[in-house]
Amino acid sequence: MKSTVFKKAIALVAAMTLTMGALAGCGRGGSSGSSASTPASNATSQGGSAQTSTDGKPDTWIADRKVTIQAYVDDIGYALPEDTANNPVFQEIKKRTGIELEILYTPSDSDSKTLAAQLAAGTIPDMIVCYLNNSVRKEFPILYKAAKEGMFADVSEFMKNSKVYKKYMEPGYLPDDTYKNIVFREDFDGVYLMHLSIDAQDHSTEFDPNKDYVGGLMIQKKIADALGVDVKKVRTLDDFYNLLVAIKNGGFTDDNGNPVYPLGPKYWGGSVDTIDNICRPIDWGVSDGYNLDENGKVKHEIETEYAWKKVEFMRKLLAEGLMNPEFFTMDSTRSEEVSRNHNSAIMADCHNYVDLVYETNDWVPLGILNNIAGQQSKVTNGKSGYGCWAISAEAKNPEEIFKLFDYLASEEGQLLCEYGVEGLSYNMVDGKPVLTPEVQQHLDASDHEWLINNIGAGFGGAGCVFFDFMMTDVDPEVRFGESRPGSGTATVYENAVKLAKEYPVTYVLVKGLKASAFLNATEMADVKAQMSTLNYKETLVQATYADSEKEARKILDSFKKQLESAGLAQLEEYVQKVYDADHDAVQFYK
Amino acid sequence: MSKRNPSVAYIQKKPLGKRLLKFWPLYVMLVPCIIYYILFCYIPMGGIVLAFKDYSFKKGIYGSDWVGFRYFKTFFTSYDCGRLLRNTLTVGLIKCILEFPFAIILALMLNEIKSYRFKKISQTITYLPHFLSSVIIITMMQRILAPNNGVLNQVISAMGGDGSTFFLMKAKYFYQILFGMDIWKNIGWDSIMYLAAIAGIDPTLYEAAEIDGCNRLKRMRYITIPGIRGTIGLLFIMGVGGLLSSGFDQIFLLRTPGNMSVADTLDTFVVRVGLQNGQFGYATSIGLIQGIVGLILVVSANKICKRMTEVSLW
Amino acid sequence: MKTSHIKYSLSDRIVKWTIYTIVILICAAILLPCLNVLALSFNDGADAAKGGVYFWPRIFTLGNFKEVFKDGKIVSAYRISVARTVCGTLISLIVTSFAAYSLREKNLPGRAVITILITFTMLFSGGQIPTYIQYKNLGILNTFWVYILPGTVHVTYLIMMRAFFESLPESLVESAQIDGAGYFKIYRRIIIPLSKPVIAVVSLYTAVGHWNDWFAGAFYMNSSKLWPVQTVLQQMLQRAMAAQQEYTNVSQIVAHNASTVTSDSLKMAAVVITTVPILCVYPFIQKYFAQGAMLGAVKE
Repeated sequence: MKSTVFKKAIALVAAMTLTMGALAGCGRGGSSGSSASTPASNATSQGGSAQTSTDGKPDTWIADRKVTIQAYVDDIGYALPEDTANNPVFQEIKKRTGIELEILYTPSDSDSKTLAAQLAAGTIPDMIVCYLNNSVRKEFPILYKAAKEGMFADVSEFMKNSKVYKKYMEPGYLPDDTYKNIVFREDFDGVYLMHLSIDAQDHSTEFDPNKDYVGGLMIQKKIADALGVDVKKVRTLDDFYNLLVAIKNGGFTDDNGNPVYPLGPKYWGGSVDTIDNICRPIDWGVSDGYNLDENGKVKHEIETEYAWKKVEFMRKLLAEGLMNPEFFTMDSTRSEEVSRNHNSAIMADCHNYVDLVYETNDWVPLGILNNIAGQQSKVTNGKSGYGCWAISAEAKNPEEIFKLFDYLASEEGQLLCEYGVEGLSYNMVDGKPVLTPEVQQHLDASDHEWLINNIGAGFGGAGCVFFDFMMTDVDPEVRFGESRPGSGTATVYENAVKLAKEYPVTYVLVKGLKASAFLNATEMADVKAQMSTLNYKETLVQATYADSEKEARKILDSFKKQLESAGLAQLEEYVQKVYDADHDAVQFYK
Repeated sequence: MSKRNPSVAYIQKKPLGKRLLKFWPLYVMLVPCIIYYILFCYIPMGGIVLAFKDYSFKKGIYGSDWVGFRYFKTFFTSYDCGRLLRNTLTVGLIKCILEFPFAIILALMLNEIKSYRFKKISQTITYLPHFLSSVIIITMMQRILAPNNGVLNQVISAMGGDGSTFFLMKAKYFYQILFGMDIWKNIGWDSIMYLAAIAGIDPTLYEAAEIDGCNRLKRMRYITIPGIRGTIGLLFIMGVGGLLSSGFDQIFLLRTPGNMSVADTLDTFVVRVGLQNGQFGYATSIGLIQGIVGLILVVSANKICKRMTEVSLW
Repeated sequence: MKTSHIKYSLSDRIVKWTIYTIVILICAAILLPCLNVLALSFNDGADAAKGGVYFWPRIFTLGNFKEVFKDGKIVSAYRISVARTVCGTLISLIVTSFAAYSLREKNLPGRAVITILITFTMLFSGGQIPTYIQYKNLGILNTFWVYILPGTVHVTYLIMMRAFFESLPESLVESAQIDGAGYFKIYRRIIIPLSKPVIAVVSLYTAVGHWNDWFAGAFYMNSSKLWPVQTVLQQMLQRAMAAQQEYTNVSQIVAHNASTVTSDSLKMAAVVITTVPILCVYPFIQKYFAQGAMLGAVKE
């Protein structure tokens, strides 16, 4: 009796263990979709490349293999075809180059966190793609560490024989920051990180209503008209203040009949970043809080009177009821709500590609106020990219992968990536691609699902974003006659473009990196660790909401002390050294 | 349940070998659990050495270079270390000690409700908020606490008060808001554990008490509470272990520039300096500090509970 | 179950009404905000964005729900969620109750050490990176098992279960032993049938934990076909918040616009759709908490 029960127990436990084993086993089998597949496909790829010489292969043929890419870009991840094997663009790439593309995305709660975790755990497939506007973005320290420690393949040799990436080596082609700090870093023994979406020509100081957006402060057209204000003339802090007062005294109401707030939060939710928009004329610390004082010394804004000026101005706006008290903290849902029901006379930030703006015609850009130097222009640092890729050091035959992306960046490749397959999604008219009516119709209807699954090309961000993201040496107007596929004939963003034409933005070129970027230098590691917990803008807001002026000043003083104890002097000295050696290295202007 | 009487069974200790042999089926039943803890907790726990290392992607966890106590030194000498610890402790005390009795009280109250349908409905309702994503809760919070047009301020001004207080911007209201939101979200959910414990009490005890003429309060005091004492003790001991690492989500959502002086805790700090900045070791060392403090608290709480209620984790 | 032939005293009645009042107040405080979610989900999206929808939809529509279901993703995500919840809870229950039953035995050599080592895991962990590496080594990354295995035994539930087992009358176990029942038979015939309340509560907690978990899907799974509903929902909710990114050109904005759900009503509909199924589980489990469910049947 007893023994049978024991037997049963054992049997059960054994069954459990077996199931567990089987589960784990299954698991491994099931993962064939991702990492496990890489070696297998590489094996076939080698077999394939041996046969490349046989006939029937186009001259764009690279190798019969699979390339797996992990993307750390949310926009790519949410715009992938459900079935890449039957997707026209993926099929066409396979036909032309022999390479089957697989794109993976792990949503997580933040892309840079996933990047860090997967690099640290060493689970990257053949290649990675991530955001990288410049060497200051938060992804960079991780990429730098990984490159330095040999996680990526050196592509410098492949670059020499490439069609497009060869241009990266030409002097003046790449932006300074990209050249010096990302691609051809002195402390790297090769080329590991490839910056993406570099413009072929430098258009950074020209405004193109089709390609550039108009952002910044936005005012209700109705109110601007009623007050008879020319929004283009509101430029200084006094102009801005007077406008707010006029709105307040104008007795305007929102859709629910409540009085409007002259100044409301960003369309996307309150944020301390909007200080830059409303205080631009007194924003002394243009280089992320730093600038040169009258003696040419690098200083932080907190060490000048401008910190208090900002706080004083914002306190005044609050006290006089000119600004929504939740200006800095409102969550995105409610922020959208106060914008949509016209409760804010002025939104702190929005742009012409938000449906609220281009669909209603209720809003016009007030744009940006003058900067501290009295210029109305938006600051640009010259041309720049916004993505980055790297090939894993473990990838088999990295040259084939490199060749693929070199091909996709060529004119022929770009046409495929942006417009899709000839005859299916576009036809050539007078040497320029023109979208088929069917595609144009889906583009105008913003039917992204259709564009992604039935064609798979990038369509200037409206389709499979991956292909748009992987572009570089970009010059669509010259090559394809329009800034984005279908933008010449599109109706969906017609109003947005019209608005951009009416309210063009001017640019001013200021070279160099923001001062805070130099915290990434190895000498600054300890200072960075200390400073990473300090937030200047939050402090300004904290002081703005302090109960008394005395308390507000105390908050600023205490922040100054914290910054000093974190090593402000060291950073200033370092930046000073860099600036003195090369004035174009740091983004200072007055 | 009250018939528990461990002294009756197995008083005499047999030799170890014999006991091992006698209990072998129990060990077999314990095996899956042990395998689980080894595979999913103990092996990754080796990563704690990162607190003393400069993590290199290439060399891996065990191959990376030692840096000794560098991260601890950086942390303890940093400007806001004191503030961080104080805030973390305050939040921990609120969440682990102050909020602790509320779920018990709710469970006791629900237990006193005799209408089966009302009881069922109210239980289901109280446990609803557990399913709401924090993103949605924060929108609700803002609607309630907004200056001027928030529900709370409108009530205050209707009662003749000043209805313009910006609760979320004022450091002095932060803990109250956190407390209220936490209770709202968790009270029903946490009370389920106690309801289950109450369900384990022998009903004959109540019948006997009723015949003896005990009123509700007395029955609650002399039967229900002693009956769930063990559950209360155990949950308390385990709760204090998390004193220094409680509630990242809500704090992160309630943080505004106005209250950040009190809302910065070790957990929010780790998020800022940790993974994204590539400072893997730093984040691990702070986790280690939280763990050590937790261990001390658990051991002491266990001792106290053992003395007071004979409840012990081990 | 209760008989009312005993007269309630005045104090009893006061206590009773105080309790009713408090419970009703608590329920109201909880229900009202939740009603708001429901109202929004049934309201027209563009209209709701203007604000002012509280507890009743202003422009009633089922469109939001249709919209959420139109995307086949949610339906297949449902399947994953149900599968992981059922499998995960079953495996958890078996392993946890086995362990709790063994540790119930006070004279088991090594009991204290094992308990301490288990408690330890609650306090110390190696952090995300070592965990990630371990999952990779176990081969569960990007497979269904990454949802199931890592959460198998929860320390709190194990301890609670053990405590409940310990509280069962020892005499029952002894008499069974005298009858010649082995450990496993006692587990199956005596312990488990008497422990319905704790098993119910542990299954509920485990099941809800599985259902609500979006992180495993988001972090350890890169095939969107295997995402559970909560991961899909989380994405929807978070995408709108992510619009803070700085753009360099219009293509980026178009790309972002393309994949963002803007309507708040749509989000609320998704919340309702993902929450309702798990809410329905509770009433079924609730009956096991009814007082005396356990010992009513087995009198000593």
